[in-house]
Parts: sequence; structure tokens; C-alpha cells
Amino acid sequence: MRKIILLVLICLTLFSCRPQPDLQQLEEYDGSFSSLFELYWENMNRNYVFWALDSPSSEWDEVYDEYYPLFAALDLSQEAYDAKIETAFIYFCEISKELSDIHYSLYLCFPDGDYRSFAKYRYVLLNDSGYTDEEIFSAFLSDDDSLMNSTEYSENAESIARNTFGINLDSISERVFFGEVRTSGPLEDCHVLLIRDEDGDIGFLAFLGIYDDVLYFSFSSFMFTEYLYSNQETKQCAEQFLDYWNTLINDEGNSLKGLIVDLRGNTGGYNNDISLLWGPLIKNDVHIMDYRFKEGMNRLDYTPWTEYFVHSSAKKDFNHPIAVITNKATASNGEISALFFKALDDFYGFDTASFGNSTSGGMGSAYMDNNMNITPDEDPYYHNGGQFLVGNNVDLYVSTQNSLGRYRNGTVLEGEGIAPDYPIERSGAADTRLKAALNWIKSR
Amino acid sequence: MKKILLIFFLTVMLIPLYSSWSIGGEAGYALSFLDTVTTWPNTEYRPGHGATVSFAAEYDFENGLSLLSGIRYIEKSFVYYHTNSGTVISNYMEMDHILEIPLSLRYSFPLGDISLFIGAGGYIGVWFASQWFGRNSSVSENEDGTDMITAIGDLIPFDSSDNLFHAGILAEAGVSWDLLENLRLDAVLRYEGSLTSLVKSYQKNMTHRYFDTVTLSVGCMIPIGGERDA
Repeated sequence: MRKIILLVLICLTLFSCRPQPDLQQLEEYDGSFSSLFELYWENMNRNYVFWALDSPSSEWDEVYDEYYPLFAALDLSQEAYDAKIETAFIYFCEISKELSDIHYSLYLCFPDGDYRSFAKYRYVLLNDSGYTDEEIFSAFLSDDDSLMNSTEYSENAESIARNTFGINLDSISERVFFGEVRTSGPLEDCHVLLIRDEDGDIGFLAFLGIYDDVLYFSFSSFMFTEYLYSNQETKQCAEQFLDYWNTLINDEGNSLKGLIVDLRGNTGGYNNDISLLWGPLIKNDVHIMDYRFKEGMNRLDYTPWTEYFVHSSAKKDFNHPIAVITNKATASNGEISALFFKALDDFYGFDTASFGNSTSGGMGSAYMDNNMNITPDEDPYYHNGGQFLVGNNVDLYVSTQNSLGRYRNGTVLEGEGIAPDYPIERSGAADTRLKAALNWIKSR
Repeated sequence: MKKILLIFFLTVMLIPLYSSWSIGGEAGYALSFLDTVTTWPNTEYRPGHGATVSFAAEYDFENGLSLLSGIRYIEKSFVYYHTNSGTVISNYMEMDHILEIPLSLRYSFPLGDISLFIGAGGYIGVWFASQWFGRNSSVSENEDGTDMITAIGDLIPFDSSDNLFHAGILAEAGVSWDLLENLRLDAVLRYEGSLTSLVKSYQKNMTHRYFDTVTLSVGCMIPIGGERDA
């Protein structure tokens, strides 16, 4: 009997060597700066999906060791709260600028009830344009977007339509429009889909036409999926545009010499748009990327990689050269599209090439369930991890993706972007990037 | 080649000297439970299934005590199950392949031709491969919704956070039957509790993962050099 009791005691002692953290204890916010930072840091620990890039070892622990004393010092400081919250915001900017997730944004609530935000996407564009951290953080602090006008963010579907092709978008008065428009530039049979927001500004723009026997297509974001489920007017216009796109792709008259897909300034959108738009180019499904998600509580606890496919909807492959134009503002599904065209060339025998500037480097995704499928108190995000908030009054909110992607050859391009085959500097209305793409097609 | 043959023949010649040794093997089923913690909703770690095969060597002491060791291959698994709004997002089994050297002290109670035994000890081993079986969602979409990717034993590459060293304690109970003069059949119910986590400690507030595994195996033992003492 004694031996049995001794054996049980030995077993219990040995199993006490299985330490686990008290996860509940980590989730209480007491309103102090040190608590704010600690909960931000711990939530990032669990929810951020890009630690394989940003903290493959103890790097994020070193951030804690460096910044916890600074936030704790704010609690003891005699400065006015307004000054302390600004300092805290700058600290968060310093930490956040090192992260790879281009979709990452941090929102900090200020005493006036408004939020100041750090957006990695904006930081990348401003940094790429030569602005210092001090200038960028100051712009974030004052909620000043004007600096973005001098970045490649200003080179987008709308600016290209106006400046390169001379499309008079202001002459379109309808809130939702699809139809042929005249251009003063070299684009023939130009058809435009334009949707204005409630303020009357252009919320979405897509246009395509024939440019010197080459089909040209530019659009601002991937929103077709939303519009196809919208009101009747919007749905009808979106369907008409997609039908026209499919008709031109089919090229039954065999008049096309190639296709230019202009992704400059395209900031992404719905994942479903990828197959919706590019499926008509391919007769078989195409594997372009792999993704993985957070599986456990630790920084490097991931699920296995799963394949990402672009699904086909064509009876035959598009058999002409395809040129893709990107810039630093091309992000998210804009970048995934660039990888799609790259994969067509690398693995599927298509003839494609890319021009312009590297993309921003944001290929992470946060797949959301349809709001009609969930109740108001359910989490719409399919996978664990990703966005989180601190404080019952949402004192701090972080938006970050919950899936990490890689090109199908194993290369992770998050935070780096996709370098074009032919780097071309921006040139304004002369649009040397577009000309280079056109000349390449003509040379094939 | 000559040296290997020489060693083999010398070993065979020495066998009669080791009259208390038995060698044999066993195979069976392994049911594993992952001991970890999570705060994410609708997320479970469910038991996983596997197999086990081992080569065993046993040395008999007097009074029913024996020391058992050998080499054991065992598949320790868990199922990662995550849902959202009633939709299964992930439902796959991660199977970890482990090679162990167990060591246990057994005590046998003879009951005629059969004996009951209990034992306790430990093991050390190496985790040398991982596979996954089941379904996990992707990010791409089809007409019906998100793509679900099915894996049938796809390898999971190791990364720097994986702790490949495996060690723990074991407890066992079973029954032996002297089928023939020189052949003993064993049925063993064994518990293995890992003391090493599947993940290295690389961060603050580390959440660890430990396997608790129950196996049911059958095997046989053959005495070397003569009849085994009961």
C-alpha cells in the first residue's frame, strides 16, 4: 500500500512539471498605460499570424522588455493625460512600423473620443516616398492624409482614367453607371462601371477598352461580389460589366494581340472576385498560393499549409500575352492577382510579364462569413486570431489579418511585395509604365 | 561485412549464457489526448488515433520482477476541431511519429498458465515526422463557399519551435499466457504521459502541449537460452 501511495505521489510530482500559463489572468485591463501595453502585447502574441516573419525567436519578447518600462513610466509621469496618450501613440507607431502585415492597423482612443490610427499600408507608401518616421507619425497623430497625395497611392484607376486616357468621369452624373464613354486618349470601345458613395465621390471605378488591339482593364478594387448582391440597379450594372469583360476575353473575332491588367492603386477586396474576374482566362483551376492560420496560443502555432486555387470558368485558355502593371499601392487581392499572373507564367505555360513598381506586400487574408449566416454576437471571422480590442470601451483596437500566405514555390512575400519583371519609374501623364507594357506585348 | 558477421555469430554463441532474457515484440492501437489550453471559442483538441509497434527485451529477476526495454514506434495524434457559426472550418488529425526507448519495471502475479502483471517506468524518444489527415479550409472560394482542402497523410514540415525530444513516464498492466513452453503471449494496457512539451520555450507565457497516450497491445516473448522462469 505504501508503495502504491509513493508511486501516486511521484506521478503527481512529475505531472506538476507540466506548466501552463493562467490565460484568464492575462485578460484584465485596469485602465493604466502599462496594462494597455501588456494586453496589446499579449493579444498580439496570440492573434498576430505573421510571427514566423517578425519574431521567429524571441524578438517580440524583446519588444516587451524595451517598451513595458516606457509605458509604466507614463503611469508615473506628472504630465497631462493628453500628452501621455500622444506619447503612448508614438510608442505604438514605433512598434507597429516593424511588423510585416500590410493590412495591420492600430486605433488608439484619445480623450476627445476620436481614434488616431497607425496603418501599415499608409506607412509603407509614405516611407517609400521618402518621408521620415517623424513626419509619418506626426501625420498619423494629426489624422492628416494629405501626404498620401504624393505617394503612389495617387496613381490609381481614377487618375489613369483621367490623365492617361482622358476619360471625363465628371460627366457621369449617375450614382451607378455602366456604359460606353468617349475618351480623348487612345482607348477605344471604352466601357465604364462607376459607383459613387453617399458623398458623391467615386467609390468604385472599373473600365476597359481596346488600346492598339490590346485589351486594357483597370479597376480600383475587388468589389464585384458585393455589387452582385446589392440593390437591383447596382447588381445589373455589375453583371453587365462582367458580361462585357467575358465577351472581350473570349475574343471570338481573334482580333486581340494581348491583355493589359492594370492593378496600380488597386487595394483589394473580396476573395471571391479573384475567380470571378480571372476564371474566364483559364480552362483549368490554378494553384497559386498556400495559406496557414493560427492553431494554438503561441506565436508559432500554425495549422498546416492549405492550397489556394483560382477556379476556372473558361472552355479554353486565354492564349495571348498578358502584361500586368503594379505600383506600391497595389495591395491585398491586387497583389494576389499579380501572383496569379506570375504563376500562369512560372507553372502553366502562359506568357505574362509585370511592369511598374513592387507591390506593397500585403497578401494576408481575413476570410469572413456572410453576415446573413451569423447572429450579431458571433464572430464573423472564420479563423482564429486576427483582430482584437483592448478595454470594454474599445480603448485600443487592432485590425490584422488571420492568415499567412506564401507563393506556391514556398516564398513568403508578406511585407516585401512582388517585384515586377520590368521596374519602371512613375512618369505622370506620359505613363511610361503603360507604354512599356504595350510595347512588350507587341514584341511577343 | 566480415565484422558484422563476426559480431552476429559471437552474439549467437553467447545466448545460452543469458538464460533470464526474453525477446519479442508487440503491436497495438494508441489513443492520444493533447493536454494544452486555449481561449479561442469553438476550438477543441480532440483525441487522436494511431498505431504502435515495438521490439522488446525483458530480463527476469527473481520473485516475479522483470525489467523491460526495447525500441518502440508509436503514432501520437490529436484532432484540431474549429467551427464558426456551425460551419466546420478545421477538422484534421495531426499524427506525430515517435521512436521511443522505454524502460519499465514489472511485477508478475502467476495464476497457473497465466500471469497478471503491473509495471511502471519511463521513456525517452525522438519525434521524427508529422502528417495531417482531414480537412482544413483555405482562403480561396468556389461557387459553394470557401475551399476545403483534404489531406491524406500530407507531411507537416518541422520548424524551429518544434521540440523533437520526447520523454515521459509510463504505467502498464496486462496479462501473460504461456502458450507454449518457449512462447509467451502478452496483452498490455499501457499509459504514457509525456513530461516534455511538443513546443520549445521560445516566448513569454508559453502554452505547452503534452501527450497522454493509452495503448492496447498484444505481443509475444521468447526466452533466450531456455525456459523462462515463471
